[in-house]
Amino acid sequence: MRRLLLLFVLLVVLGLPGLGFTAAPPRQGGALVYALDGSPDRLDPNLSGLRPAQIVFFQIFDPLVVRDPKDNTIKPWLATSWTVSPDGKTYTFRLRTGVRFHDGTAFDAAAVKFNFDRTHNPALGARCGGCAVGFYESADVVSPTTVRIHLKSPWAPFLDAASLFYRMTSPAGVRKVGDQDFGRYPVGTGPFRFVEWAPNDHVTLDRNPDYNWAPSLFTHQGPAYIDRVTFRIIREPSTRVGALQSGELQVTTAVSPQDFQRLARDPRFRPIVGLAPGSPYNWAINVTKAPTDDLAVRQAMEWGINRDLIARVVYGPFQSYGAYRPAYTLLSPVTWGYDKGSELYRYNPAKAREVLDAAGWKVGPDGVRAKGGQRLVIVFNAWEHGIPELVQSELRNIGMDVKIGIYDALTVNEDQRKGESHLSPLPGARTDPDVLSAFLHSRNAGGGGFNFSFIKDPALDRLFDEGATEVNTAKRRQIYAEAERYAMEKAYMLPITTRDNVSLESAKVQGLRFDATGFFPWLYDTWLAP
Amino acid sequence: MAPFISYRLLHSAIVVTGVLVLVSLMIHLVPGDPAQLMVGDAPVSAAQLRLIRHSLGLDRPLYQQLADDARRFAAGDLGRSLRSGRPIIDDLRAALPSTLSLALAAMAFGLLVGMPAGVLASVRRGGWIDTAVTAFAVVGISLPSFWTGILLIVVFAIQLGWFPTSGQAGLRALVLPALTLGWYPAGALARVLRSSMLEVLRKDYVGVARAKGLRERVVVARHALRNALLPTVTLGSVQFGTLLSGAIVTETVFARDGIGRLVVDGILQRDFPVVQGVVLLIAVIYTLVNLITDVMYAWLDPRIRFS
Repeated sequence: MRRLLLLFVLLVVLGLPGLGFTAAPPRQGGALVYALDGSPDRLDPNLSGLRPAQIVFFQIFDPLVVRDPKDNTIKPWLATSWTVSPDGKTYTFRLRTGVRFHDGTAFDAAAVKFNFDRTHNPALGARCGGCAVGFYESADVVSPTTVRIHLKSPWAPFLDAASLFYRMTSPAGVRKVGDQDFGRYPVGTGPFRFVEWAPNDHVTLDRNPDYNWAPSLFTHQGPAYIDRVTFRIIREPSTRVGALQSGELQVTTAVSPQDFQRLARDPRFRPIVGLAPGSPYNWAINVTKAPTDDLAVRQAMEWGINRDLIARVVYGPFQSYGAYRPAYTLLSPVTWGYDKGSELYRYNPAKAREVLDAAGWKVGPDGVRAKGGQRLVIVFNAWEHGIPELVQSELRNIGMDVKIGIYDALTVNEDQRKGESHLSPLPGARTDPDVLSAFLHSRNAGGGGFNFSFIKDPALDRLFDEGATEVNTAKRRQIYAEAERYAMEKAYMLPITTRDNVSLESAKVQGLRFDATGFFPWLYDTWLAP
Repeated sequence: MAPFISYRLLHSAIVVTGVLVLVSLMIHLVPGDPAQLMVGDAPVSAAQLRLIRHSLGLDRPLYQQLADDARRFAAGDLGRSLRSGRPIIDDLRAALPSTLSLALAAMAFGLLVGMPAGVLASVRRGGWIDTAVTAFAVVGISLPSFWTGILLIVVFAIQLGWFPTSGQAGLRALVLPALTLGWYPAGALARVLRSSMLEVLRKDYVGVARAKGLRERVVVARHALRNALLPTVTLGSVQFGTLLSGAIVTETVFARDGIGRLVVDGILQRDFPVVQGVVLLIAVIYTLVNLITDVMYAWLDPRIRFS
């Protein structure tokens, strides 16, 4: 009976706003305030890869193509169609006509060439991890509406990168203020144009009244519904949620599980959850440093942690929304290329102990294992509490002594680079499985690279190289499945949970969706009920 | 008074010069390659690293770097943030009014509440007012500002809706952060003033004043308070310096811009030019506040001018 009652309440709470949504027509006008959890650095697609900056400038700059989250395919945006040469090295884009930048200049093939050249100009020092660095050769203006991009060798993630990172900036706008200052005065073709930026406080965008080039995956055409968007920078999670409750803002990102539990069922608010593809909350395991250079130790960790328990304890309220779920392999389940067959390690502490015993790690008098005089001590770094404490107690059960370190992200990275830690987190929301090569390809080990496992495995390199150049999608999928399975067999990384976008919106907000990465809002279709 | 002030000014100039040299050398005191540290989170090529070193002037001899920095700083050019590319002077210009208004509002709250409370408690020693003031002071000194701040937001912004939860639009947005930040100095001032008043009230000259038949209000305000103010002024100026650079927690809770925010971000992102700029600014402000304190001392206690 109580369950029925609960179901009824849930239906009322979740169902009524939904019914209202379908009945009322979208309303023009109003101002939306959207809370960010950090400050943008530059509003320039080439000079920032920071999430708060991207959330803002994705409204200002349009890409050539867009990934439809519904079917995971690439669809037109500023390009109406495109062809790929049989050798996979040349992409020819036909461009939409009548598109203008916010400064009134025309968007054309020359502007596209300007943008690709700018991204790949070494003097600019672009911070675009997902761009075709090393692959891009040149761009040709074939006609004002046709542009051809030449790559040095085939690169399969190119269209995916074009949907995310190559966003069209106004060449006139860049020339006017210069490369270094363009991020303070951004000019694009997007549905919203830049108005002002008060550092550490807010960024204001206004509707672009001339916007008439929305891709078909949106529900309407013409200008956006809302007049003005203000992104407010509020770092403290409880303040963000407090400002949502008091009505000062309508959308807030990065909600804590406690606040989420309290407010998700409040009829004044609505949870909006974006499930992130790409690398989940994966911890890179240093394979060059004892004791994690021992395969048995790494596999014992994989078997020894109860991911289901961790997800329920740390992220309990998110579970019923499908977010922050246990992760058993290198790609999250919503990623194109995710392979269920690579989920090799379900919770099995007996198996973990068995593997350690067989490898000669004997339990000492204090419960910690040792081998040849070396104790089984693991340094586990992270930038937030929750998972580390649970991993510590889980691994203690199988005889590992886990030392936890909680630092800011840069320190965590530095410690791993210097070999002072054994594990450090490497989540990476990306819509293409090629993201794994950034974490596991030998060319990214050492230097400034993010191969924090420091693995140099020719077999894995070959798979990633094939995956990056294979244009046939079915074959490509197979290659990544093989790579995931191989890397999990060797236990190069320790996936724990997925890492998703958990936000809350006011019940007045309608039509807000996230893009295929799960993190970037599309405010074009968003409108405010009275 | 004039020779005293000019002597103190010279003193301050020496301190600021010393800070300039230290700030300029700061980048060399950090272990490791500063350029590599700064790009810690992004893959870079050796050429890019050389570019960063060059832009920071790290490829020139030390004495030349010092001279260049001195010239730059003197001209008001603090360089650009590595992260945002914005001129640092712009960031400081945006952050300083926010920090100053918060610190001044908090200090005003501290003085307006703390001083009368301290005087009242000393005059009504042992009574219920004394107990209440002591309780207020202990709570203010002990409670961490992130907790007080969130509590004030929950009560006055979310439940009562009297003030905005956060931001810096208008005077109303200043009230809750000023209360949060001002509670500590209010409590500390009340306590110090109370004990120094108690000491002074026992002095012979206070007895003499009373014996002359002066009204109690005049005795307390003119004879006791002015003499009891010396330790309070010291505390007040130290507190003000702390409010300027230590407001970071309050700024974070209430989502305000400020120089505390700027320096913490600068450190976390290894943005050295920003850290240099903020350290320089804070040092100059501290020196100024100390100068003002010294002058106030001399005004309050003429003996100091001649020693």
